[in-house]
Amino acid sequence: MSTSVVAIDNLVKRYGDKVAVDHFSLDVKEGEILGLLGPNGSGKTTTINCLLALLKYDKGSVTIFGKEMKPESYDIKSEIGVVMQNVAVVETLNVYENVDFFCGLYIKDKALRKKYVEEALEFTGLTEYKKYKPMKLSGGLLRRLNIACGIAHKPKLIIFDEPTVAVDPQSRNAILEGIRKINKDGATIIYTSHYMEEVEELCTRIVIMDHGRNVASGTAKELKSSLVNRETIRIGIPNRTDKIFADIKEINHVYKVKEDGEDLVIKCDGGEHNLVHVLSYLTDNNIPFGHVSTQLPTLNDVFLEITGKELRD
Amino acid sequence: MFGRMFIYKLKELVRNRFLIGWNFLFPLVLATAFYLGFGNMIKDDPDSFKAIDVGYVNTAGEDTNFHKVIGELSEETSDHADILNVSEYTSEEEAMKDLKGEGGIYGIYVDDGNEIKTIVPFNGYRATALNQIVREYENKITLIGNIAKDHPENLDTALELVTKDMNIAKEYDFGSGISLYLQYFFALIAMASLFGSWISTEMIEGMCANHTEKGKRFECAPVSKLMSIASGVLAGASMQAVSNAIVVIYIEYVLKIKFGIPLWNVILITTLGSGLGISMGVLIGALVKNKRLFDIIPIVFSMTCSFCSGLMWDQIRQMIQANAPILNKINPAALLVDCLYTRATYGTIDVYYQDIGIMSIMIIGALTISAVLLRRRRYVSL
Amino acid sequence: MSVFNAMIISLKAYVITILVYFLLFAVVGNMQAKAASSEKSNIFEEVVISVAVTDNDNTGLSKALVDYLKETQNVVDPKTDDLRTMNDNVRFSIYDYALIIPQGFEDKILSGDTEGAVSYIVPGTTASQFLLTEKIDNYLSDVVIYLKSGYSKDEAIKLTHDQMIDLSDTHVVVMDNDDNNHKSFYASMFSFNGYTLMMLLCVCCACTWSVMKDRNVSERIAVSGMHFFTRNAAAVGAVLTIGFAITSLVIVVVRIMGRGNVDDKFMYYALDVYALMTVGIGMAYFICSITVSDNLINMIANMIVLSMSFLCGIFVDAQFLSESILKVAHFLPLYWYARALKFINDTKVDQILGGQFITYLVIEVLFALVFFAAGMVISKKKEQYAV
Repeated sequence: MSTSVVAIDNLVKRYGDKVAVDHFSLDVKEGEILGLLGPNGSGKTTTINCLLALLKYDKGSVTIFGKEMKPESYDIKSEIGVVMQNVAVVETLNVYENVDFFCGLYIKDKALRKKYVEEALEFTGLTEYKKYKPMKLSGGLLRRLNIACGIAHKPKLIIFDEPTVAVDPQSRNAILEGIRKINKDGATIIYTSHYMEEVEELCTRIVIMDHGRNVASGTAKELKSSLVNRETIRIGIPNRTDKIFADIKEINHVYKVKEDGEDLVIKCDGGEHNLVHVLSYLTDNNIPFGHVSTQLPTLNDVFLEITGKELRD
Repeated sequence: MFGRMFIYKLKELVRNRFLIGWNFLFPLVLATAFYLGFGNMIKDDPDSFKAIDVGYVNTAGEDTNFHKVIGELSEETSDHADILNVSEYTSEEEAMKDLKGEGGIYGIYVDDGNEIKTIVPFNGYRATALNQIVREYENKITLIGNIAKDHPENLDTALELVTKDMNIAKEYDFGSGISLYLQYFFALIAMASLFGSWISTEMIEGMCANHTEKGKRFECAPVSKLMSIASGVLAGASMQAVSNAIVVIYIEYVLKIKFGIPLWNVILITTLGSGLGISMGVLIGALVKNKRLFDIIPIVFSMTCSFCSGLMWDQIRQMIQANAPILNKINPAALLVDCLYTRATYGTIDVYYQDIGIMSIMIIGALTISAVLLRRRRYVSL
Repeated sequence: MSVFNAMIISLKAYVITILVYFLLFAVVGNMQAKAASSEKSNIFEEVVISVAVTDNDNTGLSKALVDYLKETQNVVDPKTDDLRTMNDNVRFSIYDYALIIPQGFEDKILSGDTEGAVSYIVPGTTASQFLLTEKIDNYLSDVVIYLKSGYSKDEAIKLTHDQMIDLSDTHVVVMDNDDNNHKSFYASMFSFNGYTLMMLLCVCCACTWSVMKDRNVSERIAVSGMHFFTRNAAAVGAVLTIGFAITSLVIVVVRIMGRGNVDDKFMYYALDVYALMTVGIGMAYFICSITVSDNLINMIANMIVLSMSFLCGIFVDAQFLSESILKVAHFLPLYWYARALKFINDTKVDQILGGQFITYLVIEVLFALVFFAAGMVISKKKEQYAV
């Protein structure tokens, strides 16, 4: 069984009357990519700030690498890398100097630092821009520099706080690919985002937050499997009869059939090959049909079912 | 680690064009402007007394005693410099043509042998001085008349005493007489030093998680926050000290305005001033929580302190000294100006050491309070 | 209209800057103007010197000397017994003269040992030093001569006193007919205004202009469909409105401050100030063509306006500037503004409106056009090379 890297227990953080983090608990295992998913204002960044001992909290405890995390826990901090939500670099230093400067806060050995800085630049694709000042970089490159500054010292735990906000798709893919590689190299990752596709694609485990609470957790598959509706099939059938309705309802795993304009919407509660079963029925009975589509549940559906609202609200 | 951070902070500051512009170029430009404005007056004080151009018209038809008196006043003697510059005219009308003050004469004496009429173009010091000469002359006539009437036996003694210079009033000599206009240059150096407070607030901004994301990154790193700030303070003070030294060298060697203090001593004082500006900035950074005020407070603080130290109006520091001296002891710019002024005017006297002492205490105090406030901590909100 | 409105609203961000310069203008400008201005008078008035007396003797003779000074001069409290502080007070014009009457002064005078019987501290060899030292020397030497001529102490004091006071009826005629011997309150006030108004206009107009010159904003406006002429006319109109409002406010403030001073030349001063307004706006455009950063605008404006103020006789009267500096100043707009002020001050009101005055105003406006043209060239080049 892998060891616990981060353990947050019953964390409570209030801003006056407003509860930002509400009895939140989390356990991150070594080698995981944990996705912290939630809409804006759900308490993700506050949780991260508490985790990093930047914020005072009202209740609970935070343990990293088995030790309590405090502002002066330098031994723990030396193993953590943070990629902030907003770009945090020194405007007057060039790309190389920025990475070297922040890496130097962790790595004292000059030769080793040089190696790490060059690797970080290579990793983020910034080698050819190393003489550029941050203001001369595009938004995507700036984000990459932000990442390079946070990971150059090869930390064991890396926290990415919404690193892909305002990033073009090409850069986003590069960033996600990079994170996967870092994880493969042995780093444990906490990744916060409100982009469910990213989290679903990247994370080995997901925690969904809302109003500062842990509303659901598990792998993407586990979360989706907790839903009643597991597949939605939409078929264009021009000549619909009550019999067709009744017959389709009888197909295994179909629990709801309804009309939506020209379409018939069929909801299934599990099972495999639901579409094949429905199409077989239609062809076997010579019932003409038009377009066909099927939709598997998303994390948004999970969130919608749990909270009654959409993630991107 | 300290050395590395110091070098990177220095790099960061040197490349910041706003800081270079305000802390380095602006004092040089202002020094040049002061030189253009006051340069002449430092070399030749416009307030110093100069012989008054006066016209003399004799309507008596013979030489008079008053003519002899003004003749003596036109000559430079061991007792006094020349007081009058007399031009003789044949008539009052002719003299009136030149009675225009600047570029002409400042008064006309019309001497009919009995009475002296003084004509002046306007009231002022010169008119009063010209009248004073007549008053003194007439006073001595009255004095001799009284003695001749009451004590004629002592008239010879009295006449002898009238012509004798008794040197009753004696001027205190304080040694060096540096130009008052140097005060503006001292205040300029004080202003430049306090501009160092911007360096500090910018540095604090970049090192505290409650101000910037960069600050968060700093506070997440396994380095002592106080050590980081100390390296920043040293880098800022070094940059400000070099910048001040360049301004001083520029004033002394390019503009050729002598402070009357050995160069090493001026640089030592201005370096202390740099430390003062930087530490005041650190204190502001530690006390102020509102990010917007980070830009406003240092400039308001620097300009208010500089104004009160005599940057725009040389009298103000002394007015404060006369009415509320404590304010001059807590105003860092006034302390720096006083230190330079005292050193230049009176040498290394007690006040000079007292100023250095207070500035040092201020630096230590500001840094200590800031260290307590800025020590590694968790924030209530970010 | 939306460009115009947006620029006017942007001015709100500079309210503190406007207040600071107004305060500086109102306080320092007013004090300076009150100190520098004088009025015509044909009645002779002696200059009264403020003298701080420290009487450590407290005898009949020392008190008589102090009383004589009180009658003729302005005797003030020295506020200190430290000689160096007195020296500083004298040097920085807290008072003009410090007189120290030492203990044993009367005994010394009575014994006939007069040399250095009293001491004084003065700011070098100045007119006030000459005048008061003459008066004190004269007073005490009279007392000494009376004493040595056989009078008693009281007689000597009384005779000297009476004689000194009686002598105030010397025959002095003041022929004060020329305006150029005096600087009016308005001339002084508007002179300092050369600095503050230029700073206000440069900072406020350049900063509001920069809002529209920001690349993103200007591109967004450019694609909005608003005609090139309309949007630029709106921007120019907004800046002119801001400039006109600030200038008019300054003029009104000066008029209110000088309400006790009757001066029928006020309208001409105002005309000169409006001419300077065009320079300020032109320079603002020039500066914001170089940069759109508020901080840099402030820095460049400070450097240019402060240097110009020193070179052109705004802070220091032109008569104290060297010939070579004055020659250079001819190429700067503030010099012509200051010259126009001096011309208005020195000229009779019915003779002001003429070729010379109009030439000064035209030169100022030409400078404004030069700044504007230079700004346009820089903007065009920057656009061309996409700087």
